[in-house]
Amino acid sequence: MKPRRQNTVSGERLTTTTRRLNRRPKTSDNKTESSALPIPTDVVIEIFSRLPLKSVATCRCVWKLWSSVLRRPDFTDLFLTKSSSRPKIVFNRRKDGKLLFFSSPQLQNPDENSSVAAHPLMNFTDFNFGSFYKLSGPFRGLVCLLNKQISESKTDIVPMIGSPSTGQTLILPKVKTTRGRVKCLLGYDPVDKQFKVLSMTQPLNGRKSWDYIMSEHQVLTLGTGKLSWRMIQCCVPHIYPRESICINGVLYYSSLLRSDAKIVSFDVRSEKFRVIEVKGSLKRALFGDMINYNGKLGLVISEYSDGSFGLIFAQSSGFRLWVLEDVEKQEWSQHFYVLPASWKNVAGEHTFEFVGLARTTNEIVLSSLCPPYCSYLIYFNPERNTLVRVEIQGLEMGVSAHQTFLDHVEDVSSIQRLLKVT
Amino acid sequence: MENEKKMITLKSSDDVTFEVEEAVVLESQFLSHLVQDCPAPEHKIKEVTGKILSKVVEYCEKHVVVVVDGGDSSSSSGDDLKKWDDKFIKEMDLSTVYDLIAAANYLNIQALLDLMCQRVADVITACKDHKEIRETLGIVSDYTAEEEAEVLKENEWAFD
Repeated sequence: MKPRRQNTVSGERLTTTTRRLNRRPKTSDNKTESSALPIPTDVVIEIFSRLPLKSVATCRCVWKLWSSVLRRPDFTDLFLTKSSSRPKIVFNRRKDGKLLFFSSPQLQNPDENSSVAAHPLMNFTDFNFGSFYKLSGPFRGLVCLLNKQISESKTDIVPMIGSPSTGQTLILPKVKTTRGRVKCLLGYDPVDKQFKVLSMTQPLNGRKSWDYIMSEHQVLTLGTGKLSWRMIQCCVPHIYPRESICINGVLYYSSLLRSDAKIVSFDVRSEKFRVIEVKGSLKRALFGDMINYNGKLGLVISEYSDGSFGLIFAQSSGFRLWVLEDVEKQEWSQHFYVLPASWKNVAGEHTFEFVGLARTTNEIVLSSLCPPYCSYLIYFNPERNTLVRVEIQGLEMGVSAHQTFLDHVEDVSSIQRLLKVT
Repeated sequence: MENEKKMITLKSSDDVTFEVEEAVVLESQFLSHLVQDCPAPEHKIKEVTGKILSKVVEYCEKHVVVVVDGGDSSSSSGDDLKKWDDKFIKEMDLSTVYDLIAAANYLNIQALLDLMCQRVADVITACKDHKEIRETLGIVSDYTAEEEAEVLKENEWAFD
């Protein structure tokens, strides 16, 4: 990209550019006053919108007015639009007290037996949380997680917000509680463009502590100056959320305790809870995965030929998908997909999880969970009943406990919001 | 094929003339309007020099959609065109890129503007730090030492 010739030529340009810049305050040429280049500012914004996030940060350090242009809403909106048009898949892995992130392009119509390279993003270091802990998010490039801060006298549970793309983290105030176990979920309200963290607690004593009803629901709004938790009322009794997802400003999470199965929804904007009843065969779907099904909540679980259900792997005969078609009327649609004969070979010795829907093709995407020495994505096309397996190269191997997220976008403004409060 | 093609003459600011097919001119929104509104055989483009106009014409001639007999329309295949674009910008110095950006912006040729913007973006992306960007693009810093230290700290994650 940088042949020596080019540098020489642009070096020649240096004199003219500099001359123009130096002369600018006296001229009426305001076309280029905030660009530092002999081209109009709106074209410079167009150029910036094509840069990776890292180069955007570097450009802020080049020229003062660039720094302000790179914070302007017209730029941050354009950057988000561009990033949304080429979403990425994010993988996280855990190794030696580090939380590692990788991203790969989100393939459209991948070829059979193809492979795609994943590139490392940033890492969160000193990560001490339990190995089954799941991240919440990412939304607009941010994730929420809990960490343990261990000092000589005590261990504190610390909620954090972080950007896998920049490695920046923001430690949130400690959740006010008299109880031991904390859960934090990240939600995004697309109307007011606000991030909120919902926290809740549970006592930490005895074998059956997971059965206790969650309480002390609190909300923290990001980007409003001083960060603090506000206590809110939750009218829906529920236990520790098993799976959660945020779709179009609504956080959904599952609560499953013996005969009492439900989904709790939390409207991020109005901060109101409601219960979505789970009856009959739908109940088994709460043991599966939650996905974003074209903006609707989808629950999906694999079934075996003897009628039982569980993790999806070579022995699975198909899977059942429930879609919450109407939240108000609590109407669900149900689809059963028989896996094609090639499934056993494609799955091999791996177990998988459902991670979502490929945007343009409506293919259902699965990601391999274990064994950990190689990673695959599987694209299942329900209309054609075909399977395509894509190998993900470049991931840290041999580490367990990981998650895969579709539709990851990079958003300059949410990262600025992180900075504003640090 | 036998139909006689309508030819149009474009004249640059320094009076270099280019005779092109009308279809080529239609790649530019600005020129399409001009040709429609003013059916003269020759159009002077005062804002663009002959050197840059020749590049613009070369680009548009390659990208023009050729209407062949039978009404099918075809252009060079996507891959070929991409290879051609890569070659087109590969040897171009930045001052020509800037001039082509100005010309594409003025003549309203979106695809050419996109190509040139991507070229500058690629040059910036290939730079390892802010100093290399300044050097490559010929920019003199307007930060004071304190300001620069502050902005570097704020964006330190971007520097390995």
